[in-house]
Amino acid sequence: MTARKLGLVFFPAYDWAISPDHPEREERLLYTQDQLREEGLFDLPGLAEYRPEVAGDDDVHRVHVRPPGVERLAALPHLISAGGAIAAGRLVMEGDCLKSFALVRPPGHHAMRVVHGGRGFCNINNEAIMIERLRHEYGLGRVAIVDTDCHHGDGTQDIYWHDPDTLFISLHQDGRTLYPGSGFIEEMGGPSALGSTVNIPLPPETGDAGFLLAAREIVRPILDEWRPDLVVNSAGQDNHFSDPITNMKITAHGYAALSEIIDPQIAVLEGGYSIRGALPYLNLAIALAMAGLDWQKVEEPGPEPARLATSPQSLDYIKRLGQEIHRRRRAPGRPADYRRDGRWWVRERSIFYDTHALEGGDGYGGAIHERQREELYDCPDCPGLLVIHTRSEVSRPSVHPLPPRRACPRCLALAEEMKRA
Amino acid sequence: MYLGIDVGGTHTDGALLADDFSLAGSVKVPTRPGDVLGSFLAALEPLLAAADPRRARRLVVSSTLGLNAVLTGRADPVGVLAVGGPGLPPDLSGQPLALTLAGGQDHRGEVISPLKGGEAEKAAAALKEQGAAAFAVISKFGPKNPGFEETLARAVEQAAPGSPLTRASRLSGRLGFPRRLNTAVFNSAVTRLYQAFTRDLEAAARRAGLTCPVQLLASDGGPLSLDEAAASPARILAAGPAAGLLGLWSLTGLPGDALMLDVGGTSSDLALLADGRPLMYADGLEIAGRPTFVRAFLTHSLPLGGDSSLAAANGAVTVGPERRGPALALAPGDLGRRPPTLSDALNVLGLTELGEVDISRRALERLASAAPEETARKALATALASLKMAADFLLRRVNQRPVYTVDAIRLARPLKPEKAAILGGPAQALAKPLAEALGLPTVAPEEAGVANAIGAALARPTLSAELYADTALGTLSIPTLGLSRAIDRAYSLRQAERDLLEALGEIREKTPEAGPLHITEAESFHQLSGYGRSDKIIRVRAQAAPGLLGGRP
Repeated sequence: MTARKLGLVFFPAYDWAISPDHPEREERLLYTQDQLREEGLFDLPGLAEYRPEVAGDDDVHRVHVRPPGVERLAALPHLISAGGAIAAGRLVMEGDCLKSFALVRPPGHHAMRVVHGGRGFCNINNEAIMIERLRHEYGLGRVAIVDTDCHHGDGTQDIYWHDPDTLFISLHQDGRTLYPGSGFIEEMGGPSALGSTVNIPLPPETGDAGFLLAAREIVRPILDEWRPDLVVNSAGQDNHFSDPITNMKITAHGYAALSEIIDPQIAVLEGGYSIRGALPYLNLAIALAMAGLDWQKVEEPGPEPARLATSPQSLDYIKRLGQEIHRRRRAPGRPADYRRDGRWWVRERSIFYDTHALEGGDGYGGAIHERQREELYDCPDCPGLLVIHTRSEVSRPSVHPLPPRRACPRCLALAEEMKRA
Repeated sequence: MYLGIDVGGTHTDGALLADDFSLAGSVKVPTRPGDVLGSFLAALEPLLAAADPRRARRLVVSSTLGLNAVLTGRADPVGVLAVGGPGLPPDLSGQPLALTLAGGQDHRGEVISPLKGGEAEKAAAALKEQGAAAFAVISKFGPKNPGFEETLARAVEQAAPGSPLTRASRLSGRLGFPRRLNTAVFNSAVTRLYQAFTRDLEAAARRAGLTCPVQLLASDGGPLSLDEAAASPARILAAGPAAGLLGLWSLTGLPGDALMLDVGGTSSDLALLADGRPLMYADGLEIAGRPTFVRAFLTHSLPLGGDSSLAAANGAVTVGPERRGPALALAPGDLGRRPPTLSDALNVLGLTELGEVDISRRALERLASAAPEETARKALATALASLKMAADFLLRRVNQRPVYTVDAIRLARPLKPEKAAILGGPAQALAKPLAEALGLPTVAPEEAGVANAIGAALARPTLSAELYADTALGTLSIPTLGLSRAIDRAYSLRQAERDLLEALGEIREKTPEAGPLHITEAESFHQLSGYGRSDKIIRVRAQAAPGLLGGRP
């Protein structure tokens, strides 16, 4: 049997919302489903729709750290969303489909390694849970994640910060103008994984031309040089000109062209809250692009193209940004934010959570402030044992030794010793 | 008494059921090629020989008349008028006579750009000029707002009065432009054929002394009155597997989950019962290779039957897919001219005694160097393995069906057949080996020979419709019933359910044999942006499911 061109795992969670008037609510993928059905997308030759799996606790804990006091990291909707990503990954790994697209909600790319609560509508990280499951089950090696959500994918960045085998590239609206306020070019990865994190902060009001310039001149050369075994796209859709909570000017055609340039095997939906004006057309165009079908015919309602142009200043800025990013990758220097303490690299920071882990309520209340201290063992034989000290209003201080995936015997022994103590 | 007649590809079966639905008479005659009406009469006459035709309460006929017309290109050329909208432009590449007009509406049924005055009339006249004998009109998101289709329909009625005309969203109220288009085009293409056929059928039934309603079986297992059939023939044009599956369902009365197999001469159909009810396609049937919204039993066909040719190579024996004639045991003159069939292998194994068993033995001896019993065993094993693989494929497909709610995932249980039932020529012989191959107790009912006719005789009418409401736009549409009206912002899901059941209830009063109406999907979504908290999008579907008269099973 020949593989299908594209498998779609569509899970709109029609009976779940963070809260009734939250952007992450039942209605979010309704119009997308209506549009995709009306176009007959699921009947196109080479396309098929699949059911999500339900991620297990094992899958969640392979990626996330649950500090004491936090009872559960995820409820069933989160587990289905992560399971949708896993199902999409499996379609590709099993050879059923050449590519797959998990159109699932809720999103996950703001969920970091340690989870004290929810951040930016995210509880657990769908892409990371999928990738680690595929590594566990299929022995998958080098993976590149390209995050094209308008918000910096700070959760995914955090999870893979110390992993030299996972390239994380985030294209987003400049963190000086948008949540979560991070994702600057200086953020390039931890001491033993410098250069495996790439941030491309784009100026507000960037249109298709600027977006695609960054994709062609920054993302594509880095992917070509890094040679991943698998490319995953965190396909947030809030760069669209009609998105209510961001300031970009990307069109459905822009997203489809971007998808062609990045050429991911697996895409996972992240944010995107222009649920009527953008998502139906974006998802259609991206699915067609991934399936190798003609997306140029997709029409969407909107202003005349001139109003969505990228300014010459922005184009020039993005060109120079690209040069600077490539220069820094060639000569990364010393990791920012870290100090030395004997054989250990140490970083201390505060992390803000906008919601409690599984709380209902209005979805915005009950903020949590985490204090975190990271210690990375400077190991000559492996990426090094990571030790995280964490505490917050909801969790008493705790210590978590986290050996890297391909830890050396010494780091493994060190971790065991610390767990006993 | 109740009458059922199934005009199949090779045989025409008739069944006469008493008022208590017990089988009181049956007939099986060869089908006259290309003559559905003649075949029907050939079965009806002996069936009524010993019965008073005036006591018949209903006659249901099933046939593949329309499908044959479509497949052999005898259907009318259909002119298509279409209006698009944001997203992809209408794909009319499969339609030789089609025009897309400027205008469009979006996924909520909101008009983005209107039709230009006079364009529709011009287009309809042009299509007629080019040879369209029937018409279909369609717009993107027509089920949400049938306005464009109504305008197009008026233009067609003006340009080509009296020509068959299908409003796509009146026929299927679901989203899926290509499927609605195909369904509407098939419908118009065979409308005149069915207008003539229903007239002839009615006349023939009256001549035979019948005074009862005459109905045609649809592919979802529900019979339609002749008027309904002539208006929406797409629903009956591929009713083939429905009669057999209804018959098998009624004869076995299996509860729970079960696998149903109909093994014919050239092909086998597999279907599933879930909780004792036949499983339907989520969307609809594929007709002549095109996806449609025609509701139908979910079936999986494979080219394997009693007449499938055997071939031997490298010690293995294959079965089918080609078919070159009946068992050699029935056509001894063909020995040496063509390969033996699966039925010949069953003969050799002593599972059947069809015709001249010795011819079957000699044919298998010539096929391979091994002993004929050994060759026959291998042929049977190949056939059983194919059936098992097809059953597994069908189950996997059903169990991987997409779902869209957290509850559906939480409550979903995989379908897992506990029994199998088999129907068709070699059914009795295959029951035991099949039970072993599938690992399921397998029954082959005694009256299986006329199961199709029994199924037709017992079929309950089905009903279904969907309702769309948008309180922000103030619109409500029940497309297949041709209802659309304004609603206020307080309109609720409860009201929508009531309105849909009431609208379908009016139809059900005219078809009292239909089963009870159920709401099958009911969803209400808060809309936020720009319109305020109180607005909702509501979607409801309701149906009277397929069923059998007399409460059987």
